[in-house]
Amino acid sequence: MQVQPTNKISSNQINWLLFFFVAAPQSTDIPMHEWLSLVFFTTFIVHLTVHWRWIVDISKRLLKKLPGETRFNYVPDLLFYIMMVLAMVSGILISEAALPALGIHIVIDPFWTPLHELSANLSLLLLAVHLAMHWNWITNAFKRYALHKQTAN
Amino acid sequence: MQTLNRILIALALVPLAQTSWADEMRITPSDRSQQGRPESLEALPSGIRFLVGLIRPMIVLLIPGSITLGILNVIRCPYKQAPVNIGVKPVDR
Repeated sequence: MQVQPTNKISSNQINWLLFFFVAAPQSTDIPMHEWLSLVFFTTFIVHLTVHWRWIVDISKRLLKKLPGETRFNYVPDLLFYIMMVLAMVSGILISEAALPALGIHIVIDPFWTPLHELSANLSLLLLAVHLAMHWNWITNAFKRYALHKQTAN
Repeated sequence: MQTLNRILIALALVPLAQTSWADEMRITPSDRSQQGRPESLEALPSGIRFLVGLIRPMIVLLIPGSITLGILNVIRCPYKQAPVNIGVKPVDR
């Protein structure tokens, strides 16, 4: 499946903006934090689907010949993915507003709260690294499709 | 000389560790709630609280992001930057 670059850019922008607000529960308060997280969960799946070819391609070639930077890119991306999954799962398990509103009542185990905080903080840190590692792609794509400037591609 | 400077700076910093000026800052949110005191952010008006709450993710994104970008630029510097493929086939001219 060939995904249009404009769709990739839109998916990226929506994803990172949502994550930014999800990462600030002090601003949004817990109920909004939980609902935004559920929306983010779906956009995160879309983001992975949109970039699926890159993920599969690099995973297959990881132990073969690859540019050093691409191989290095893979490590924080994989860590970021693991932290995101941990934050989402633990977040669902400590949900105080969204899940009860959907009629799902679970007993909150205090074990998940520090795990959620740790994985969420590490995810934010790894998002910074993730954005920095792909910064050239982001700026080139932004110049080309948002500002309609000719880039070196 | 450098070692002496370091020792002097370290000695000058020792009294800072002995002061209680930062006691209020050391109180964790859970201690605060146990004492029946509102979290510092809760005391702020909602609009300002919203903006203040965004500072933390902004700092966490900007500082490590710029450090990573700086390190990457230093690493890439000796090499010619390869063009970045953003998923568009080159047009024949």
